[in-house]
Amino acid sequence: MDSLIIQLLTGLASASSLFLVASGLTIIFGVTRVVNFAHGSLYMLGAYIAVSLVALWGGQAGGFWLAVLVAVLAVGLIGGLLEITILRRLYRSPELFQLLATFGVVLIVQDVTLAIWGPQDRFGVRPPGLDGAYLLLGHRFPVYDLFLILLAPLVLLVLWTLFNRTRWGALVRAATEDPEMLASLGVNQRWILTAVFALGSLLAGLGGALELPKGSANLSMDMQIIASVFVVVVVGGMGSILGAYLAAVLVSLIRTLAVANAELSVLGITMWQLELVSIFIVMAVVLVVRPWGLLGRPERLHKGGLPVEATVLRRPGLWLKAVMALGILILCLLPILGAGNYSLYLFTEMAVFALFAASLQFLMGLGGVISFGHAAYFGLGAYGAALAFKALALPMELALLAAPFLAAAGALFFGWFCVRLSGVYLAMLTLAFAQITWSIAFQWEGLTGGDNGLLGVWPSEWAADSASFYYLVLAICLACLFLLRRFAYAPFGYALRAGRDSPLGAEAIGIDVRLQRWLAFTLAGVFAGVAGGLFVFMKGSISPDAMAIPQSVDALAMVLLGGVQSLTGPILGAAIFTGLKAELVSLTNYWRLLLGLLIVGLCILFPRGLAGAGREMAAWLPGRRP
Amino acid sequence: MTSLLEVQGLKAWYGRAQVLFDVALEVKTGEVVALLGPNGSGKSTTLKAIMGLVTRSAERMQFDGQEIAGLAEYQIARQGIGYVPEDRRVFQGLTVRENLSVAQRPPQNDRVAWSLDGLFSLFPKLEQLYERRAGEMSGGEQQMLTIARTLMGNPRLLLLDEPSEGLAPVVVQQMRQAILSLKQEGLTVLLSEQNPAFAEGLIDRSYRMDRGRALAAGKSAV
Repeated sequence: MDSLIIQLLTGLASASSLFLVASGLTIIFGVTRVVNFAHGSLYMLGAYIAVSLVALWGGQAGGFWLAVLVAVLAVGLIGGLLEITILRRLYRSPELFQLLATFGVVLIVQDVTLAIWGPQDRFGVRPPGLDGAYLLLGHRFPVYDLFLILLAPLVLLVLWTLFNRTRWGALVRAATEDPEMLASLGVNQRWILTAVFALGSLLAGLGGALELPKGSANLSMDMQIIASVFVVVVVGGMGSILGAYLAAVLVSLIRTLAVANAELSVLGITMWQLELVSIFIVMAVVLVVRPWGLLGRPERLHKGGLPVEATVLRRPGLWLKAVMALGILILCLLPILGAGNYSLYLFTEMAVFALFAASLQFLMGLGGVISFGHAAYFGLGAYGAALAFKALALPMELALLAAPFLAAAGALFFGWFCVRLSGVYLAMLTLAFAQITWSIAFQWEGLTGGDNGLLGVWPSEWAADSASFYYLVLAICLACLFLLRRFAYAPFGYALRAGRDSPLGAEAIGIDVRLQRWLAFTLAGVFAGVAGGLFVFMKGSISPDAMAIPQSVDALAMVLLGGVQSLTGPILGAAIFTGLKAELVSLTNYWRLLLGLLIVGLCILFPRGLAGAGREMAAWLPGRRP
Repeated sequence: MTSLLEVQGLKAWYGRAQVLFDVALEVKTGEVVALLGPNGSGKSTTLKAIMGLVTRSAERMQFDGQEIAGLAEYQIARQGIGYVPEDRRVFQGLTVRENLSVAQRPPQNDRVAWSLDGLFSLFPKLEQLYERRAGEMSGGEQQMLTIARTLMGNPRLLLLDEPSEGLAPVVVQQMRQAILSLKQEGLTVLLSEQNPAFAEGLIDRSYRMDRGRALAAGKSAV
C-alpha cells in the first residue's frame, strides 16, 4: 500500500512536466488551430539551453533559477520568431501545410541542436536546495519531485487566471472564436497569435528545463515527448488547459504503474511490454467514448473547414496521357538504357513510395480522411511479409501476398474506430493507432525482434538482381496505381468524394458515408501494405522505424508536395521527395537541416503543392477557360 | 456637409466569381444612408468590401479624405469605421463585459468616448446581462450587443448590416429607436436593409442595389 502511494506521487511528479509541455501545445492549437509537431523540439531546446546555462551559473540556487528563467524566455522568443517567419505565412493555407512546415522545423532543430551541443547526452543536476529527499512512508522521496507536483497546479492556476480574468485573455479567446470579427473591431490579431505561440513555446521550454534535473538532454527527446504530448492534448480535449492537466495525470499514473510493476504479467503479457502501448490505448478508448476528449468541445466547422478543399477531379487530357505513357515507357526501358544498380535501387524506392503516397492520397484527397498514421499499414504490410518469410518460411511470392492481408486486417480494425471521428481528432486517432502498432513491434521482441527488427529478408533468386527486382516492383506498383485510379473514377470514388465535400448532403441522398470511408480506409491500408511488403524485400530488413511518426509524415509530405487534389501529384511528390532525400543524405551529415529548410520553403512558396502550382500556372496560359 | 466616405468603382469577388461591379456611393457626415435591395443584390458585400473583409478593388475609397483601399481590416477599423455584421457574431464564449472590453478603443479628435452608461441607456437589457455569456443570450440581445460592442470602438462611421434581420417585431422597434438616437447623437451610419418599412423615417438617403450594382441614389425617403 505504501509503495503504491509512492508510485502515485512519482506519477504525479512526472505528470507535471508532461502537463507543462502539453498545456503549451493545447493553447497553441486552441487559438491558432496549428498542430505543432515542433513542440517537442521546443521542449528539447529548453532542456539544452538550460543545461548549458546551468553549467555556467548553476552553482547556487539563484544562478540555477536564473538559468532556467533565461532558457525559458529564450525558447519563448524562438517560438515567437517561428510564428512570425513561418506560420504567419501559412494561416491561409490548408491546415496540413502548417503541420508539414512544423515538421520541417523539427528536422531543422534536430540538426541545429546536434551542431551546437553534439551527439552526447547532457546530464542535468538537481537545483541547489531541492536536491535532498524526504523520508516518506519509509521510502526516500525526492524534494524536487514534490516541487514538481506542486508546480503544475500553480501553473494551471496562473494560466487560468490569465485567460479568464484579464483583458488579454478575453482578446485571445475572442481571436480563437472569430479572428476576422476581432480584426474588424480594430484589433491587430496577428500579434495575439504570435504572443500565444510564444507563450505556448515558453511552456514547452519550461517543461524541458524542469525535466532536466530528473534526466538528461538528448537528441531523441523531441520525438519521444511529442507522441505523449499529443495523447495528453487529445485526451484532455484540444484547447482545454484543465483537460490537459487531468490527461497528463492520467497518462503519467498509468505509465508509472506499468513501469513500477514491470514484471507483473496479465494473460502472458508483462506490464513492461504494455508501458508504451498503454497510453495510446487510453487515448483510443477516450476518443471512442468521448470523441472530443475529456473536456474538449466539438469542433466547429469554420469557413473552409473542410479538411481537404473540394475540387473537381478532372480526367487527364490527351497531353497528360501521352506524357504518362511516355514516362511509363522510359521507366520500363531504364535497365536496358544502362541505368546502374544505384539508380535502379533509387527508382525502385521511388516506385514503392509512390504507391505508399498514392494510397494516402486516395484516403485524404478523395475520402477527406486525414491520416497522421498511415505508416502503420505500410509497416504492417512490411512485417506481414517479413514474418511470413521468416516465421512461416514462405517464399517471397507468397510473403508478398501476405503483406496486404495483415495491413487490411489492421486497417479494417483501426478504421472502424477512426471513421467515427472527424477532422483533427480523427487524424490524432490514426496517429495513436500507428503508435500502438509501433509499440507492439518495438516491445514484442520474441516475434518482431524488437528494436533490431527482422533481418535477412531477401527476394527469391529470380528477382535477386536489381533489374529483375525493379521490374517486379514496377509491375506491381503500376498495377496498383491503375487500380487506385479505377476506384477514383468508379461510382465508389464519386460517393467518397460526395461524402468528403458534404457529409450531410451525401447521407441525405442515401450514401452511407461512414461505410464508404471505412472501405476507403481499408483499401488505402491494403495498398500501403503492398508497398510495405515490397519495401521489406528491397531493404532486406525491417525495423519499427518503418511505422514511426517520421515515416507517416514523409508520406504526408509526398502527398502535399505533389498536391492532394490530383492522382498524379503523390507519384510526382514521392519521386521528388525520395530523390531529394537520397541526394541530401549522400551530400552531407546535416541532411535533416537541408530537408527541413526545403520542406518549410516549399510550404511557403507552394501552398497548394507542386501539382497545384502547375495547375495554377496552366490556368493562366492563354486559351484556357478560367 | 463634408463627405465622410466616398467610394468609386468598387468591385468584389468571392473566389473567382465577381459579385460587385463598379459600386459607387457617398456618405456625408451626420447622414444615415441605406443600401436597399433584395437578397443577394450585394448590400452586405458592399459593407464587407468597405471593411476589407472580401477580395476587392476600388478606383477610389476614401474615408475622411484618406485612402483606405490598401489597408487591412484592423487598420480600417482604427481609422474610425465600425462594422456590425449581419449574422451577429458576438464572441459566444465571452461575457457581455468581455465582449465590450475587447472592442474598446479610444476616440479620435477629442470626441467624447462612449461610456458604459451611455450604452446601457441605449440598450438597457445589456446592463442586466452584463456578466452573462453572450452565447446564452437571445438573438435580439445578441444584436444589441454587437452594436454596443462596435460603439465601444468609438467609430465615426457605423456600417450596420441588416440590423432588423431575424428579430421579433418588438425588438425590431427597439433597434429602430436605438439607431434613431444614434442619429440624433450625430453618428454617421451606412446600413443595409431588405425591409423598406424599417428604413422609412430613419434614413436620409438610400441607394438601391441590384445584382452587384448600386443603381441610382434614391431620393430622400424622409
